[in-house]
Amino acid sequence: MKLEERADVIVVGSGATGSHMAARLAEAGKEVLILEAGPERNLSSLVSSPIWSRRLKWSGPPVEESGDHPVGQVFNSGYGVGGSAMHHFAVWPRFHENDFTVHSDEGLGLDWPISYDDLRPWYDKVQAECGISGDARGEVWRPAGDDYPMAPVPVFAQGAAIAEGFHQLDMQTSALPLAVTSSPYKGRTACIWDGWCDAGCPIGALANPLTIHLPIAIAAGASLRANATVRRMLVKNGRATAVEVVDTNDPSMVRTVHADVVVLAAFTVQNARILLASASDEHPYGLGNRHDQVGRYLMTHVAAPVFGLFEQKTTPHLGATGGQLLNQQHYDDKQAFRDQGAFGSYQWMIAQAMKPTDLLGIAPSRADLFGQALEEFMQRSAKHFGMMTGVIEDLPLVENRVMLSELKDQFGMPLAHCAHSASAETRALFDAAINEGRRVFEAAGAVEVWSGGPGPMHIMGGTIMGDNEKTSVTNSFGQVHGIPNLVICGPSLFPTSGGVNPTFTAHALTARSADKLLNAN
Amino acid sequence: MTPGQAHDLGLTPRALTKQEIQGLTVLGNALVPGAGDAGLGLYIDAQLVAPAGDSMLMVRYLGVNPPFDDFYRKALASLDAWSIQKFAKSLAELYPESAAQLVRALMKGEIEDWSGPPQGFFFFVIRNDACDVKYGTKEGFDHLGVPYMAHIEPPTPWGNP
Repeated sequence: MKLEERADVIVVGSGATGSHMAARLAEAGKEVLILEAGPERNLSSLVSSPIWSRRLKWSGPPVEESGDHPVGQVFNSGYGVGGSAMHHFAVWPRFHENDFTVHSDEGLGLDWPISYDDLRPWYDKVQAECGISGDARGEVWRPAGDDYPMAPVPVFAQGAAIAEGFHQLDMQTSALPLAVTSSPYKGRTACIWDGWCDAGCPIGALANPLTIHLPIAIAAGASLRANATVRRMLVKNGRATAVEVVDTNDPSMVRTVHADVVVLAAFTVQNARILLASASDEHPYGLGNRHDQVGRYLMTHVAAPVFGLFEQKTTPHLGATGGQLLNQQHYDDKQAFRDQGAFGSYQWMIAQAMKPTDLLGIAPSRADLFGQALEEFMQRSAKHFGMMTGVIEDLPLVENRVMLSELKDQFGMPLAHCAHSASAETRALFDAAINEGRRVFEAAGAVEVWSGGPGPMHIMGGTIMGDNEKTSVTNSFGQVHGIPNLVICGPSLFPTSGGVNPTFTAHALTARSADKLLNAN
Repeated sequence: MTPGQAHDLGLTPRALTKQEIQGLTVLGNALVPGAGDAGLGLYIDAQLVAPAGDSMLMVRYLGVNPPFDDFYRKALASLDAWSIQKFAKSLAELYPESAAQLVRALMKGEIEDWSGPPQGFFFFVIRNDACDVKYGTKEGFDHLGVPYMAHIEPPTPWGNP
């Protein structure tokens, strides 16, 4: 069955940036239709369980992965209303000034087409709307910006134990900036620091799409349709005209939805996949891909976990999943470990609230233990565990990319294939960070210290922004080169990854793009 | 739900055989004391028949695409064959000391004539499955003395067995 529909604006994806864009455009009076490929979700479906919470992860069409550091699509993506942000940890630091000028400054990586100053007012607007708990002045590395609207996350015993190690090495810590309420904020209740962020926060304390932007969008008249998979976008004479939508549960149900503006906010891998799968006579290599740039510069932060056991009790179950404290000591010097072959920035997220199990839980940190030795470790760790994670910048490489597979999904759309390997510089930076982290734990007096291997964290790039259509996919507002009413949102726009969590920056870019769209119209 | 409770309710495995469930019980108890008795086999069986989006298995985000039946069944068959060759008993019949020996061999990749996922990877996954069943539930948190503090209690420990 084929149907025809129309809206002013179609937003593909209901995650952090899709819901944000929908809210801004609906508030301005636009008729907005949000299309979400995954199932309906609401706050009451966010069960507090490390086992049940896995249902929030990606379960759309399989993604093939290759390379020596795969991006981890299923772990790092969500599926369903609210998208990946439903399980995100809400660690919201800003990119630094030097993240925007990496190639000009250092001769490696890429430049952004905008500077920190261009983005600063949008960071400030977003943090006022969504609420961030933190200590701007204590965060001595932070670029200029408004103070945070809420007091910082409390420091529990785990945070105090690890902070002592930093201080022993004459290194500073500050409160971790979290988009989590430390006090009631704009009608939202305060967090009770029980560490269930990864399972999805049902009480409205964490700034996820179901709490912040989807209610705004719906109240302003936007429509949200779940189980609606966009398999192709239609472009004619340099203008996006419509999208072809399949009912995820019934591939025979196909709709063509026409619109004046199409916003693609389906997260990094699917953004590139949909552009590539929308090839036509007018765009034989896919949309925005005249110069073979779609899919390129795929990035993922390298996670650098450091663990320890302390003599004192650390109450590791308390706090937020993202952590309590922050260190960005070397952030502004991307050559700080050049003598070790490293390049880039990193930060430490310190004292993450820990559950006994799941991939980021206590048990997998010692994957070499089983039987009674594991039981004894778990009993001890439940009360004495400490952890921090380095967020390691991933150097953008042109050969790291999203491509189309030869295999197709049930809708006839080619699967995505993600090829990603970490550069030698990125791997060396991981090693340098791990060495530093272990020294911190030793200085903190941990009785046992160990570390984990590199893991993928966050997915960025693939449809990067730039001034030149030969080396990028969109302009700085996310408008696809040559198709100005096709606008991309999300971390797929990032030309560089920085060494900080991407969601806040993705929101700031979205706010800036929304303003541009509204002023242009 | 423990195997005993499942038996009392007349529940039968849906994706795995009874022999495989029993093998997982022995393997689970060797990996994490009490994990087999807590229902490792029934947990995996329940997840294998669930729609892919509802699966709670950790393997779903470790680079393995569904369905996961072969991932488990091939590995269990290899473990069973090695057990018979080494101990003249099936995996389901192993004594705890022999089961511990089998787990050590699996961890080191020393199970001969192996088919299925790489041994070290299977060890990682099945050990974490056992941890889920033993430590990942409210009862498991209580066992470790960790306050559960649920916003929304899971209706069952791991879905509908």
